[in-house]
Amino acid sequence: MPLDENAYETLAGIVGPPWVERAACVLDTYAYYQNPETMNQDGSQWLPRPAAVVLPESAEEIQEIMRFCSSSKYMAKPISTGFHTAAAASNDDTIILDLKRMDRILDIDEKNQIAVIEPYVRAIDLQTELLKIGLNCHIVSAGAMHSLLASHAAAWGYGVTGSSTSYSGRNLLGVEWVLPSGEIVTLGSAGSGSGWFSCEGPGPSMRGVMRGFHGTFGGLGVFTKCSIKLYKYDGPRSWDFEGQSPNYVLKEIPERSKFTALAFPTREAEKDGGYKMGEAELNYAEFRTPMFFTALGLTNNNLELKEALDSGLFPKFANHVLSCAFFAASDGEFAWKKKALAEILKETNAAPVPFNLSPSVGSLKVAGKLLAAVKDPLAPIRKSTRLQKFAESSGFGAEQRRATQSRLFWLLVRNAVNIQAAFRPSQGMATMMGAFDTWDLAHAQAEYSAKAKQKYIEQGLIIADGGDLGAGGTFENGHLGYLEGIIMYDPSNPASVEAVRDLVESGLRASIDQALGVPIAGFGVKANKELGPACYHYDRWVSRLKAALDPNMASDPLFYAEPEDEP
Amino acid sequence: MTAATAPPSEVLTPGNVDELRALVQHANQGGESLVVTSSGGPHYKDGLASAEPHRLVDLSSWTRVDLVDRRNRVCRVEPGVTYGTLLEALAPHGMTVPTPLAPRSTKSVLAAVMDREPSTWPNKQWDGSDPVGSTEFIFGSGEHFRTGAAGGPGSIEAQRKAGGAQKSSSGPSHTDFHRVLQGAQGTMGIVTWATIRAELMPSVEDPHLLVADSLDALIPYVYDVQRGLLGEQSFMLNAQAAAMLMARGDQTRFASLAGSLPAFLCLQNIVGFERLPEERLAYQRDDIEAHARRHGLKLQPALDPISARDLLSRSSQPCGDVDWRSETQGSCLSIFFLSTLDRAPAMVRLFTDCASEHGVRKQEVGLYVQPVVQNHGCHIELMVPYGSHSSDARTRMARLEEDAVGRLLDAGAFFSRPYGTAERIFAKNLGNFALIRQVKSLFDPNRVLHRGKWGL
Repeated sequence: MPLDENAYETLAGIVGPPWVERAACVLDTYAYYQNPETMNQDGSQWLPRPAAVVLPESAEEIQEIMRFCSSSKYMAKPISTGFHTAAAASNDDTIILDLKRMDRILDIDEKNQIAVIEPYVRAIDLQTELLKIGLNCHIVSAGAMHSLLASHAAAWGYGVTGSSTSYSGRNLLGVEWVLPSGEIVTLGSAGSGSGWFSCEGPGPSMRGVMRGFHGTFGGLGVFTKCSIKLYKYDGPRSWDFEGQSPNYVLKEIPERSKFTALAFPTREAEKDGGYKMGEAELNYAEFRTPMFFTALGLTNNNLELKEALDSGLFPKFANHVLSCAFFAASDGEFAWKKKALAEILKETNAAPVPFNLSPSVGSLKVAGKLLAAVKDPLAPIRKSTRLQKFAESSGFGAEQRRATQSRLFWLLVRNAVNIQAAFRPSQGMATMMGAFDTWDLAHAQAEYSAKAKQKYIEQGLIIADGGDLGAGGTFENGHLGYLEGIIMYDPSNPASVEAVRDLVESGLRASIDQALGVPIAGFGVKANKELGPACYHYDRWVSRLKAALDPNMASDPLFYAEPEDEP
Repeated sequence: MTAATAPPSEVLTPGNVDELRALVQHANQGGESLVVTSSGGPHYKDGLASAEPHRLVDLSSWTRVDLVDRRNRVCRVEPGVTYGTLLEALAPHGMTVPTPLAPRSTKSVLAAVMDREPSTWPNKQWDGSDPVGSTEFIFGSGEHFRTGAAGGPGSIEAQRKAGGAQKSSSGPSHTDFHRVLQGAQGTMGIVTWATIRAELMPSVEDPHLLVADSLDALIPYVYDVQRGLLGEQSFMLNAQAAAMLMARGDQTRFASLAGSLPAFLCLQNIVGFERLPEERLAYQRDDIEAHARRHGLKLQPALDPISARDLLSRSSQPCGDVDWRSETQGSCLSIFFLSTLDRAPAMVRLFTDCASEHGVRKQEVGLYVQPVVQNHGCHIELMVPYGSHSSDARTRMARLEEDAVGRLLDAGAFFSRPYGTAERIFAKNLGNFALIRQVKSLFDPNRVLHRGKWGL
C-alpha cells in the first residue's frame, strides 16, 4: 500500500519533504536485487514495492522514524549500498530507509588502527585513504562498492584478505544502534565515552545479540555508525598503471610483493597447503580459484571462455588453485616468505601457474592439442624449482606475466570485482553451503556442492562449470576456513531457477544431515525454522529477542526473526 | 572491598552436564540463586561475592582436556582445567595457548577466557572474544545451548567426522551468545566446556627487554612493532610491578629488584616456529631491532637483576596458589581497565596523583600495560600491594579505589570487566545497561544466576 497522507506528513516532518519518496517508478528501483527469483517463493523477479523510501541524514532522524513505526502499521527496513535480496522490503507496508546521505568517514585513527564510519561509506572510499598510510580494512567479496557498516554490523560476507584481515563480523569495534523502540544505544567503549576501540562490555557484550554470525539484516533496528578494525598493509601505497578497462596493467610489480596462483595436484594437497601457509603466516590475500573461475578470469568474454574450456587444459591443472598475494615490510621478511613458500610448494607438490605463458584462445587451443595426452601439464614445473624461477622471473613472457599479476592485484588488493563480469556466463548467480569453521570443513562443503550440482549440469539447467565452484579461502592465518558453492543459472528460465532452489534447499538439508555447519543461506524466518531445531533452537532465542526488543514490529522481520509465537 | 556479602549456604559439585542442568532447573523452581566457580581459591577479585542468599556451584573438578587437534590448532577444556594442565596437555602436540600474566595455579582457563582476561600474546588475539572458539552452556533458565560451530547442526562427533573442529566462535546464525556470557561474571549462563584456539609452540625463542625512564618512551616502539604483528609475547611493566612478579614473595629480593630495575621495561619475545625457525627469528629480530633503534631503544637479553628469559618464563607459567600481585605483602589493590596506548600515560599519571593524595608514594604503584586485540586497545592495571592484616590499610585502599575509579571513569577509562566499585561504569551507558537487563530477563528470567550482581 502506498504511504498514507498522515504517515507522509509525519515522515516529511522528520526528514524534510525532498527526502520522502512515494513515486512508484522510484519505489520499484528498491524492489529488484540480486537473484530475486531464487528467493521469491513464486519465482518472480520483483520483490514487494515498499510503501515509501526515506533518506534520513542522522541517527536522531532515524530515532524518530523508528518511534513512528513503533506506533503505526509501518515497518522500517534500512539499506545502505544494498545488493542482495535480503535488502528488500518484505511487504508493501515497509518503509525503506536508504542511508546514502550518511556517508562520512568520521575518523581514521591511524595509530590505533580504527576507523569510525557511517552506513554509506563504501569499502573503496575508506580503503583508498587507508592504503596511503599502510593500513587496510576487510572487504567482502561482493566487492569494494559495498557498505562497510553493512558487512561489519548488519550482514555477512567474506573477502579475499581473510588470511590477514579476518572477516567483517569479527572486526567490529563499536556500533551506534537505533533500537526498534527508537532508543539509541552505543555498544562497547564508545558508549562509555572511552573511545571506539572495543565492542565488548562493560560486563556482558551486547554485541552477542546485535549481529551473530549472519547479522540481523535490518530486522532489529538500524545501525547508524560503527568503528572497525584496520590491519597493516605492506603492499604498495601508490601505483602507476597503463591500459584500459577492464585490463589495467601495473607499470611495475611493486617491491616486496608477489602475486601468484598456486596449482595443487589434489584436493588433499590444496587443503594441506592452506594449513601450511596459514601456520607460516604467509598470505596477505588468498582466493580459492576453481577451474572455471580461473578460465573466467583469464578471458574477456563468454566466447573466449568457452574456447578456453574447450582446449581441455583447465581441468588438467586448475582444479585446485589458490590465487595469492604476499607482501613484506622488509627484505628479510620477504626473503623468508619466499623460502617458506618454496618449501610448502615442494611438500605439497604444488606449482605456481606460469603467468608468462599467454592465455589467449589461440595459444590455448594449440597447447590443448599438444598436451592432449598429458595428464598433468604442470608436472615439469612441480618438479623443478629452476623452472618455477624461470616462469616467475625470466624475461620470457614478462609482459604477459605482469598483466596477469596485475589482474590479481586488482582482485586481491583493491577488490575490484565487477559482479556482472564475474557471473557473465549466465548473469544469474546463487550460492550454497558456506558455513564457517575449519579449512577441512570448507572443502567438505565444496565437495558436497560439486556433487549435488552434477545432476543439474547434466540436465543443462545450470552452467557446466565442472561442479566445484567452492569460492573462499582461509582466514586468520589458517585458523578458520570458508568456501561457498557458487551456482550460475539462467534467471529467465524457470526450470533453471527451480534447480537453484533445489540445490540451496538440498544444501541446507545436507548441512543438517551431514553436520556441515549453518550455511550462508541459514538466516531469516524460513531458514530459522528449518535449522533451529538442529541447532539448539536458536530460532526460539532470536524470536524471544525480537519480541523483547521490537514489541511493536517496527523493524521488518523477514530476514531476521518474527516474534516468539510459542506458548 | 565490596558491600556485605553472604556466604554460600551450600557448595554443590554436580558430576556432569545433566546434573548441572537439573540443579539449575531446580533452582528455577525453588527461587534459589546459584553462584558458579571454576577456579580454585583464593578468589582475589571478589567475583563470587553475593549479598543474596545463594548456593555455590563448584565446577573445579571438571578437568578434562578431551580434544587436542594439531591440524586445526584447537583444544577443548572443561571448566576446571587450569593453565598448568592445559599447557602440559598441549606441549606433546607442539602447541601452546596465550596465558594471562602468570596466572594462579588454580586459575581456570575457561574462567579466564570467559572473563576476557588479557593474555600476554596480543598478536594472536584477533577479536575481543578470542581465544574462545565454541562453547556449551546452560542458560539461567535451565535450557541447554551450544555456540559457534558447535551450535550445529549435528553432534560434535558428526561435525568432526565432516571435518569441523568447533573452531569458529560465531553463530549459530543470528546469535553470538558466547559474547553475552563473556564478561557476564556468571550472571547469564554456566559454561560447561569451551574450545580454545591454540598456537604453535615456538621452536626457538630469543626474548629481550627494552627499558626506558618513562612509559611514554616505550609506547611509540610498541605501536610500531605491534602494528607490524612482529614478535610474540609482549607487555610493559614498571619497576614495582616487575619486582612484584619476579620476587616470588621474597621481601628482600623484592626490595632489591624494585630498587635496581629501570623505571619501565617492555618484554619482547621473538621466536621461530616449526618452519625455518632460526631464519624467521633472525629476520624478525632485525626488523624489531630497527624499530627499537628508531625510537632510541635497545633490545637487551638481560638486565643486571633479571633476564628476559626469566621474565618470559615467569609470565607464561602458573605463578603458584597465591596471586603474584599479593605475594609480597599479602594483598594488593588492583584496578584495571581498557584504553588505548596513547592514553595510557595520562591515565597512569591520574592514578599516581590520586594515590599520592591517599598517602601512596609513586614508587609503591605497580603498573602493567598489556596490548590486546593486536594492539587495538590495551589493558592497564594499577596495583598497590598492602598488608592484608591491617584494617587501616584495607580502609585506605578502599578509599583509594573508590576515588581513583571515579576519576579514571571521568577520564575515559573503560572498565570492561567491572569488579567491585568499577561497576559504576554501567551508569555511564544506561542504554546498554537497559539492554543487558532485557537480555538477562530472557536468559535467566528467575534471576537464578548470581542474583543481585550489578543489580540484575
